[in-house]
Order: sequence, then C-alpha cells, then structure tokens
Amino acid sequence: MKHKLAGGSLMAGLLLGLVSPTALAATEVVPLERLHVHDVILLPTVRSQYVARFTKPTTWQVAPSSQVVVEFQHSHELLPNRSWLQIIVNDKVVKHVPLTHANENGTRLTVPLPVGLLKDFNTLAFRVEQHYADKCEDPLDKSLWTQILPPTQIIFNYTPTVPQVSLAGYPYPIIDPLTYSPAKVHYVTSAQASQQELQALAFVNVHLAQQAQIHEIKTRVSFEDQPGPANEHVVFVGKGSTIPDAAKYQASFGDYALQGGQWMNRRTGQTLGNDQGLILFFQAPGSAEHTVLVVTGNSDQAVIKAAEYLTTRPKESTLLGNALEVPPGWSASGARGSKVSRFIESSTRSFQELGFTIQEVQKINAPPITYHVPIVGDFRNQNGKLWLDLHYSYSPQLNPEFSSLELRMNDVSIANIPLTNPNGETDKHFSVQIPNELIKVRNDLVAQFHLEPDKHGWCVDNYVDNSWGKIMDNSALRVEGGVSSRMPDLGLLNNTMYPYSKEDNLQAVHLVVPKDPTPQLLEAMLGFTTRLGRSTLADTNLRLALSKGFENVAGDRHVAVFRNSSDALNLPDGAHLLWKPGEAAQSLLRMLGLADINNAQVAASQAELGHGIYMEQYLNGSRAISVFTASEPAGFQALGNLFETDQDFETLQSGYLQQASLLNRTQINPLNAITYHLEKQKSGGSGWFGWLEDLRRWAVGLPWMQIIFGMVAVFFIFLILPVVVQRIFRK
Amino acid sequence: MHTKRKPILKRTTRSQWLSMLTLLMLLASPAASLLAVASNALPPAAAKAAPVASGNSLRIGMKELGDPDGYRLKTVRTQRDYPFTRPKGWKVLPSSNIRLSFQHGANLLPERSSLNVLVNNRILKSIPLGKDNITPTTISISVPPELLKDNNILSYQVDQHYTYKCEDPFSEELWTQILPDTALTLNYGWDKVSPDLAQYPFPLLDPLNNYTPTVVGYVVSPSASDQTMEAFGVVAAHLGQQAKWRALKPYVGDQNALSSGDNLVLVGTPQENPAIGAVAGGLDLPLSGNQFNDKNGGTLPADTGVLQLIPNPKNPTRAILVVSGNGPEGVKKAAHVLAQGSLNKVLVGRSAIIKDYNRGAEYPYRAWDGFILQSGDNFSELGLLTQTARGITALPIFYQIKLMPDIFLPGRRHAKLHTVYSYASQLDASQSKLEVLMNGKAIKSIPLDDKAGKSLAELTIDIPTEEVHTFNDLEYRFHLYPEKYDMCRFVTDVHIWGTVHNNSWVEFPGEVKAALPDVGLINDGGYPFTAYQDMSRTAVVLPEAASRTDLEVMVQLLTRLGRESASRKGIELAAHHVNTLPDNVKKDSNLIVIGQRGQNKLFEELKGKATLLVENKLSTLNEDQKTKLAQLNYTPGQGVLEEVLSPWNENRVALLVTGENDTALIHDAQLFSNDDWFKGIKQGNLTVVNDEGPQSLILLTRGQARFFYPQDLRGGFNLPAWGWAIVGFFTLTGLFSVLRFLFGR
Repeated sequence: MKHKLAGGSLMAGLLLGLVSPTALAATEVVPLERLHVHDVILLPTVRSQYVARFTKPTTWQVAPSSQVVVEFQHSHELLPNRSWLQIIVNDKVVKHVPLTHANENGTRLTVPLPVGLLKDFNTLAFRVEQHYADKCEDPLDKSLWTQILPPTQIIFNYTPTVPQVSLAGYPYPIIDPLTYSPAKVHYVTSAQASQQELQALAFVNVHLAQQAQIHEIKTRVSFEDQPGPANEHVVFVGKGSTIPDAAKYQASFGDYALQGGQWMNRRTGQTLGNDQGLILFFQAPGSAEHTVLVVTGNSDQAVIKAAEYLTTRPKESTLLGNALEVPPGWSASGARGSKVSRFIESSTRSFQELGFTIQEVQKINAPPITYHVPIVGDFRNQNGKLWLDLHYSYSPQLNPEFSSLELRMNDVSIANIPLTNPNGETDKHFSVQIPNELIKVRNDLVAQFHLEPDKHGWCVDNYVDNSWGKIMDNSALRVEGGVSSRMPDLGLLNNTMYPYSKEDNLQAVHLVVPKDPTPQLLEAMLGFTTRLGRSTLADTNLRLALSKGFENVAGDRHVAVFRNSSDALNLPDGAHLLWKPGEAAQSLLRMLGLADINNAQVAASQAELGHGIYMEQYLNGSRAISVFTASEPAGFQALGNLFETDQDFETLQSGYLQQASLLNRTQINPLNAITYHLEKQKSGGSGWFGWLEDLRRWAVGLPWMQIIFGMVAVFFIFLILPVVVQRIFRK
Repeated sequence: MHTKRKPILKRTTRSQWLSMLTLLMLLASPAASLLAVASNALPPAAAKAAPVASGNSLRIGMKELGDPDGYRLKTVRTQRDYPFTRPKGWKVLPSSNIRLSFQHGANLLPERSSLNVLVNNRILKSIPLGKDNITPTTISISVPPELLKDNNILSYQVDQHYTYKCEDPFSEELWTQILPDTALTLNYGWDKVSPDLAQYPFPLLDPLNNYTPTVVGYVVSPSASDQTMEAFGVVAAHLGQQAKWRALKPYVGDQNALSSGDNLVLVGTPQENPAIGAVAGGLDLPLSGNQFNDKNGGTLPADTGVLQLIPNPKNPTRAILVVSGNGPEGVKKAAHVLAQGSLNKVLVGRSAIIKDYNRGAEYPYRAWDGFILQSGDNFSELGLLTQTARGITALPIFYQIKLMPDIFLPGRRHAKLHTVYSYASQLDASQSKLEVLMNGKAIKSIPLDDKAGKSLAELTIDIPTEEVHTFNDLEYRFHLYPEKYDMCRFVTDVHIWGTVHNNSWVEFPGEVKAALPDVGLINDGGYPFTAYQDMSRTAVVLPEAASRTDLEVMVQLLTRLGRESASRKGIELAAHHVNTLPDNVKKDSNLIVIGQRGQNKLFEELKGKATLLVENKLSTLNEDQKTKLAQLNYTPGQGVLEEVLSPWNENRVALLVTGENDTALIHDAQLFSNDDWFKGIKQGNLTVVNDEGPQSLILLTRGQARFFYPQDLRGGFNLPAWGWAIVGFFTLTGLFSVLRFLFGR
C-alpha cells in the first residue's frame, strides 16, 4: 500500500506538472550573437538574404507580446522606390520596409513575433532587394548594401511549463537543444567513491555531452546534495551506501527504496543483487525546472553496469519509465566503433566522413561555402602533401568568361576553376594541392562559386538567373606522403580534443585521478570529459577507462592525468618520455637548465613561483600524456570551467605547457601558452655546390683538420707540383 | 633612405692567406668562390610618429597612421585600412570620435559616389560625395566604445563614378582625398593597475599602447655590486626587447623618482637601494630590518632572488617592479628569471621567490628571427605570410625582406628572387601582369597569360647585389583584368585574384662575414653585440666609481640593443665595474666600455687602438684623417662612440662610449634614446655626437680592421674567385700526377 501511494504520488505530481504551467512569466532576450552571428550582417548585391536560426524551448509558452527588434542601415545610393528590406519569420514576411533616405542611418524597428508560427526550430531571415539605377545596373555593385546591426534581437516573453520526465526521453530535459542557456548539472558522489563509481560518473557525463554537442554544459561536483540554482539538474552516481543524500528523494523512487545504504525492490521486498544496476529519473519534487537522475546499485559492478546501460548506443529499447533495473544478464557489447575521426591526421578523408554534406548555392550572388577542417597532422617537416579532390556540379547557361569556382584556404586563393561548359557539368572532378604553408590546425576551406548568367549584362534588365553550383560530398582531402605528428601540443585539444577524440567511443582514452580526489579535482576531470563528449559522438557503448593512480593503464591509450600539485607524479614504469616527467613548472625549469629539482622539492618550488593552473603534455611513444594540475582547489574548478566554456576554451593556444593565474574562484587570467623552442642553427649551403660549402664550413670549424689539410696542401704543392711542371717542360 | 655601404676592408690579411692553404685541395669549386664584399646596411624602417596625448585624450592623426600627407583614394572603388589598438589599461569613453576632413573630384556623380567610414567592418558613416563637399569638408563621427577591441581597423572606403556608361575605372577623375588633418581621437580613462607577474611586462609596458611613449624610471645605486649592475642591464635589455619598435623612455632616477608617479624598477638589495625600503609598506613579501622574509616570516637566504610587482602608491595606474634579494646573487637570479622568455610566464601573483637559476642551453649564434640567415631561406622562415590580392583595383602586396647584417654580397653579381605565385583563370592575357618592385624600383613585370590560371608557378628574378640591402621593401603589384575587358561592356572582377606564396625564397652569392669595427652595424640590429640574441658574450664595463650619468648611458644603450634584438629565451649579458672585470669576461666578450675619459681604466689599455680616446693621439693620425676629423669640429662636450678590435681576442670588439665630461656622456645616451639620431649612425669606426646629432667617419689604419666570420666569430679562410680557380687547377693537376705516379701510364 505504501509503495502504491508513493508511486501514485509521483505520477500525480508529474501529471500536475504537465497540465499546470507555473504562473511566473519570464523574459529572455536573444541577441544575434547568441544565434551565432558575431558581426554585422551584410546584405550585398541586387538581392540577398541572410537566415538566422532560433529555437523555441519545449517548456516555454511564448506570449504574443514577444518581439523582434531590428536595427539596420543601408547605402544612400539605393533607389527608394525599388529597394526594400523584408523581415521574415518561418517564411512569412512579418515586415516590409522600403529603404529610403529617411532610414539610411541606424534605424530601429520593432516587429511582433508571430507566436502562432513558432515551432521547435525556426528561421529569422532578412531579405533585401536593392537598386541604384532603373536600368544598366551592375547587380554586384558595391554600393548595393544593407547592414543588420548587432543590437538586433529577439525578445521572448514566456511562461515556463513543467517538462515530461522519462527515461524514454532521456537525456531530455537535462539536455534540451532548444534552450538558450547552458545545461547545468550537479553531480553528487562520494569522497570514498571507488574507481568504478568514478568511471560511471565519467560515462554519464560524456554521454550527456555527446548528446549536447554544440550546446554548452556546466557541471559541478559535490559529495553531498547542496542546493544549487533552480534549473540545475542533480545526478547521483554511486552505490547506495555512498550516496546517502539520495534518500531524501525516496518518495520519487517508485518501486525502489534506499534503506540502510542498500537498494531494495519495494514490491518484492528484496535487496537488489550485486550485479543489478538501477537507474532512476524523475522530476525533482516541488520544482518545475530541475530533474534528478540516480545511477546506482549495491556494488561497484552494479553502478558501472547501470551507467553502461544508460549510455550505450544505440539506445536500449527497454530504457523507459522513471525507474529501471538493468535487465539481468545484460552486458555492454564491447564492439569497436565504426566511425572515423572527423579530422585530417595522416589518412585521406572524404567530405562525408568529415561530416560535410552536399552544399548547393544559387544565383549571381551565391554565398561562399565554408568548411571548417581540423588538420592535426604536421605537413611541414616531411614530404607530406594534402590534395583537395573536389567533385562539383554547375548549371547550364553560365557566362563562360566570368563564371568560375574559386577555392580559398584560410583566406588565400589557391585555385580558380573556369565554369565554361554551356551545358553545365555533373560531378566534375578537379584536384589541387593545398600549399603546405597554408595548413594550420584549424582551417577554413572556402568554395566560392562566381555564377554569371549567360545573357546577363549591365543593360539587360530582365535576365534569367537559374544558375547554381554544387559541391558534392564525395569530395575528399587526400593525404600523400609522410605526415608527422604535431604532438605534444595542448593546442590540439582546442577544436578537436586530439588525440583523445580519435575514437568516438573513447576506447583509446584513460583518465587518471588521485586516490582521494577532491570534488574540485573531479570538476576538472568532468570538464575535460564534457569537452571530450561534445567533440565526439559514439555509435557503440563508451569504452573510456579511469583509474586511481597509474596502475593498470593500458600502453595504447592516451592518458589524461588530474593531480594535486602536492602529489607525486608516478608515470608508468619504463615510460620513455620525450622529456622527464614532473611538475608543470619543473619540466620547464629543467628544459631551461634550471637546477635539477627532485619531485619532492617541486611542489615547494611551484608554490613559491605562484598559484594557478598548469596543463602540460608529454609524448610517450606515440601516445599523449596530458597532466592537469592546480596549486589550489579553486584552480581545478577554473580548469573545469575552462574546458566547459566555449569562449574560454577557444583561447587555448599551441604549446605543450599552458599556465594561468587565478582571477577569482572559477575564472583564470588569460592563458599563457609556454613553448620553449629555439630554432636550430641553420647550416648547409644551397644550390649546386652546397655540399662543398657545407664541407668547407665544417672543416673551418675544426682546427686539427686545418693542420691536416695544410699538410696535404704542402705535399701536393711542393712535391707533386714540381714533378708536374718538370714533366710539362720536358715535353 | 637606403644607402649602399662600401667595404671597410678590402685586403686580405697574411693570416688569412696562410689559412687559405690549409683548404687548398678541398675547396676548389665555384661554390666556394665567395667574395668578400661590403654589407649593405640600412637603418630600420622608419617608425611612425608618436601621436599627441593630451590629458586623457589621444589624437591619432594621419601622420601617426603612416600617411602624413593624407591619402588619395583613387579608382572606381578602393579602401584604405589603418590598424589601431586600444591599450590594455584604457577605458575608452563614448566621446571618442573621428574628425574626418576630405575633398573629392568635381566630376563624381553624387548619387553614385560615396565615402564610407568603418571601424571593425561596421560602417559608422556613409557620406554622399556631392557638390556640397567637393572642397575640403570636415565632419565629426562618433566612435562607440563597445565597437573597439584590442586590435582594430579604421577603414575609409570609396565607391566613385563619373558616368553611368563606358567608365574607365582608373580615370584620374575618380579620387577622394583624406586630408592630413583627419584624426581619430580616443578619449579615455585609466584603469587602476592590478599587477600580476604572469602579465609582465604589463603594466610597465602595454603591448597594445602603440602611441604614447612608455616611461620607466630605474632606481639603482651606481655603487652597487656587479651582480646588481648585471641585473639592471638584464632588466633594461629585456624590457627593450619587449617594447620592440614602441617608444620606450627609460631614465635612471634617484630616491626622488619615488614621488614621480611613473612606472619604476627598483634594482638591488635593500641595503644597496634604500628606495626598496621606502616602498616596503606595499610589498607582498615583507621587509624586516632590510631583509626580505617569506610569507611565514622566515628570512630568505642571501642567494635567493625576490621579484615583486606592486601598484605605485603615488599613482595607482602605474606599477613598481622590485628586482631584489637579500644578497647580490639573489638580485642577479631574480633579474635573469624575469627576463627568461618562457620561464617568467610561470611567475604569477604579486611576488615570487627565486631559489635557483641556471642559464641553460647556449643561445644559437646568428639565430635572428625575421632575418635571412643564409641563401635559400624562404619568406615563411622570416615569418611572412602568403597573401592574396583581388579584383581590378587589387592592392599591392608588401613584404619586408631583412638580411643579416653580416652577409657580404659580392659586387657585380646577381642575387635571385624566386617568387612562388598563383593567379586566377579567365584573366585578360594582354593586360594582366605581375609587377615586382624592390626598394621602390620596378625590377620585373611578367604577363599573366595562362587562360586557365596558374597554381604555384615560380618566377626567378636576377637582382644586382648592389640593390640588395639589409632592409629591403619588396612589393608585388597584380594588375588584374577580367577576360575581354572593355570599359563599355559589362564585366565583373569578383572572380580574379593573384597570390604570392610564402615559400618564395631568396638566393644570393655571398658569405657570412662582417668587416669590423663598424659602429654603423649597431643600427643594423645591434651587431655584433646582439649576434647572440640573448646578448651572451656581451659585457658592459663601468668605471670603478660609476656615476648616475654612466648608468644613464648604460640604460639607454641596453634598451636600444634590446629594441634591436629579440631573444626567445632570456638575456645573458654581463656587467662589471672595471676593477672587478674578470679576465675571462674581458677575453670572451664584446665589451661596451662606458665612462668619461680618464675615469674608466680600461681606456688606458685600449690606448693603442682608439682614435679620439687619449690626448695627443691626434698627432699620430695622417693628414687625410686629420682633415676628416677637423670637419667634425670636435669639442670636449661631444660624445664619442668608437669601436675597436679587442686586444684580448681577435674575434671580439670593444665599443667605447665616452667623452670628456658629463655633457658628452649625455650626448652618448641621447644617441641611443633618440630614434632619429640612432638611425643616423653611419658606417665608420667612430661616431661623434653633439647637439645636432651624430656624425660618423672612418679613421682606420692598417691592421685596425678585419673580417669576422661565423662559427662563433672564429677566423676563417678567404680567397677571391680567381684564387680558388688557381687552387683548383693545381689540385687537379697534382691529383692527376699522383695517379700517374702510382699507376704508371
């Protein structure tokens, strides 16, 4: 009876939540910047359009008082009777504004948001028609422009509603891609958490992050359930005995109960077996905005099993309801992922593999097609070459004199393909080598179609423009020759999380934490896994490994170590590192030839040098060992924050050592990328006789050689030369 | 302007002849036929003028932006970009504005012509070019502070037309002139500094403050230990390296400097430097009884260094850097760690205790960033980027090519410029071309006549070696016309472009060897004192009883050497009083000897070498030299800078920075602090400085100059081309004879 009441109250609570929106109205202002528009929007040429995408979160009841505020300016050369700006929401024109002299400078418009048209994913488009002459007009003339200015914004007035919470919809609403603010997750675990429990914690977090992708996640960790912001979701990970605070949600556990640190089934009255994982997911009582997830069991084995079951891909069909025991006999598949990495390392990658779909652009003012291509291989030192094997199509009836497909790499034009076939082309192939000097870690590869209609000209008023160009997804970036590794370089983490993201199921990643990690250190570890998750998307269960200390670290995994500055860093036995293991500061000190300090002294040295965070990367054979250290607990929080905040993480620069001082509890000063690299002294001649010049320089540097050469010279000149002369004159 | 140097040294010394023999057999090849020629030393590119800062307002005029005469925007469409920065410590106010003064061609069509003013790609004002602003017109445009970032671009963009049809896009009628009195005015407030060693050299030096000179006062005792003097020199040279081309005005202050409100650097132990005690109240690491304690109250050992960066109590927008320790060794360690390029970034917070320092690996010889070190170096190795120019009105592509000042190019030979370039398809072959200019002179023009365009094509241009200098301006002008270009027919130019790749490279016949002494090489990057960019093998020698004026000379000279160099590691120069100058330093270093005549006893040891150093020396000069000297009108108040071969090491020099009185030494100091004076140092072994600036001349007699070679300036071998040819002939003949002798017919 008691169980039924509990279950009933849960259901009642959920139903109540679903049908009765909370009364508090709210406002969310979404500027263009949050729609990934980081500058003014330029609308050039005779007609053009820019489309920004925005969402309507599922839990919002948007009020009709919501608005779109548009600020714009335009060229004074536009003809008012033939030029206009349209504001379009989901393909419906909500405002048509003639572009006149009255509104050419910074004009602000307020337009009601058509609430009835809103869906989960929406578009806000700005379209212009612009003319400077009634005839004989260059449609690409630079005087044809309108700018949408950054103060443009969408103002949502809404009332929040309670989301439906179920494992079937998991990880919604923890991860809701429709929201504008980062997902906030509060993990609760134990100071005595075992290796398996921490691994389960990492699994849950990576999985959430893989679901979130471009959506930010902010995590924190504590060893007890401390109150947080209203919209912060709580996730308990651990054995029943190590997460006693979870018991306060007992009423929401449905058929299960936590009693004396042990999970039991209320219906059977039985304690759960040691291999039975348990997952609970429900709306937090009394809250409209946050949920509670419990990943648990009565043993370490059960906890890890629960986490594996929750995070496996494809999603288990039995993952339903608010409470679920992992089916007996279930085990993670152990299958290797079939996905390839989404960056260029040393292998050829097709556009499809890189996640680039077929792209088509139309008309005379076709916008550029931009591909963001991460390249982690180093093409500078060996004879490696990177080719772009492009497959493209274009429409018939293009003007062959002016139409072309221009290719740019990092803002430098590298090739121009004339589009000269009057009948157009389908899946035409073109290869061009990308100059090695243009290859960086983060690259913008741009394909720009210049499409001029055949019958088009200055004084042709009514030309037909059916032109289009297409880049196919069977295009590829082809690697030829040897490519060396850029590691060690923490800058490779930026954008790609290389090398940890090489396998999407993280089967080549091993995390190392101390025996007794603090919550702050775990926050740094979770920050790392959040970023790792957002950079990958597994197609199998996760294979991430975690250990306390360096025991049982597989030799083929890339390692990320999170450690207190006072802990000794005992890297694996026999590890042959590029340079000696040690403290961030110590490794630098050593490289700079500072006094050789042993590990015990290092902590003291660093403390004296100052407080802050340190990240360093070593190379052990072909695997990376990254070490993350902070001189104080708040430093780890700052480190976690750095990994989780896009804007901060993008400041991570190239270098095998990064350091920053703490600005406040969770923020750091700008990172210092520390590299110690002296160019090798250049030597060697050039040209045809370069080797002789080299030899000469070498000889000059050797005094004893001078003596020998001197003796040889004397020998030839004084012994042989007279003989030669004698012979010549005798003849 | 770029001037051609003549060789100081034309003859080959006897020792070199002997050395030649030793490589007789080996080096009989044309490749080894490298001639000794003069270097082509040029002063660095002219620095931009300093803008006028008044109160909390900075006016950045056209002069400061590099166009003192304004700028003429020509052709149908063009844009001129001016980068500017927002200094870190400034809070820019909304009253900031652009005062734009302009005029334009009378025939522009008002409805089709406009001038746009942009900041960071945002159009702040679009001005119709109508009849009402044909004559000089001035308008004020507000600059919203929120638009400004650390690095910004101010752009003037015109779109101008004089007809609706058959328009020549290059017509002389298409022009708008930005007049010289146009200026960007930034009104700003200063932020209080929050010093953090991790941010050093900020706030002493703001890397974004390209406008107002950074004033740094050094407080150091002239009687301090050699270690403290070394620390002082290291900090000054390092700060100079950080400032690079930015104006840096160091001075040596006394106790009263503490009330100045400037950025200050206090160097020395608390006993040596009472100024440290005067700011003890604000220090992060406490001072007790003239001894530094750690934060737990323990007294630090004497060989432990202390660095502290605190706000200046007299001016919270400025900072005080304390480079100290409880003993001289500690002071020295602190300075070296602060100057360590990478290591100093590990320092965080307001203070750091430096327990140990070891200079580490040797800095490579001649590893000058951004300079061509040898034939075959490419643009990428100079830090230059691949660039693209676009459209009919393509802007020129500029590169500055810098050669090491010790590279000698033989006369009447050719250097080769190998340019790797690409261009678009569909160019008009009859009109499109690539023009290459070197130091303002056109040296090659080639047609861009492949209809399919070209990718990574190579162009080789022979350049007379006489035209190649230490600093060279290389310009590529793409003249791009679309296919079948016709003024009276519709064309578009959006698809045409040209690219110069940075794997372009330079090849030249030449040898690495410098003719010394030559004070003129000092403004070619500080050679030879910066041959090692960390200034190792350079030592400053002060008088036994150094004065504040001597230190003033030292700080100006070392700051200048710093600004002329760039160490990736640290600064390793040494400094000593003459009475404690170790023999090994005297022997192994290029010496900078500072002091009034008679006050530095090292001058006595250099009597036989120097020209103007000792009295009665003038009588030993020949008539020609006396005539030259007479033209200088030498007077006792003039500073003297003379470079001589070191008597203690044939591959080192001594730079004597001297004069007969304090006024003369102040002239010497001014020579290094004044950009124009410094640039005015010409080739010669002697420079005399008076109120009007420097004058250089060559007063050398036989044996007073020689070539210095690489491999750590060791002596080498030298032969003219014909010499190597003879050697080659004899070697082959000899070899042939031996073979015949051994094997018979």
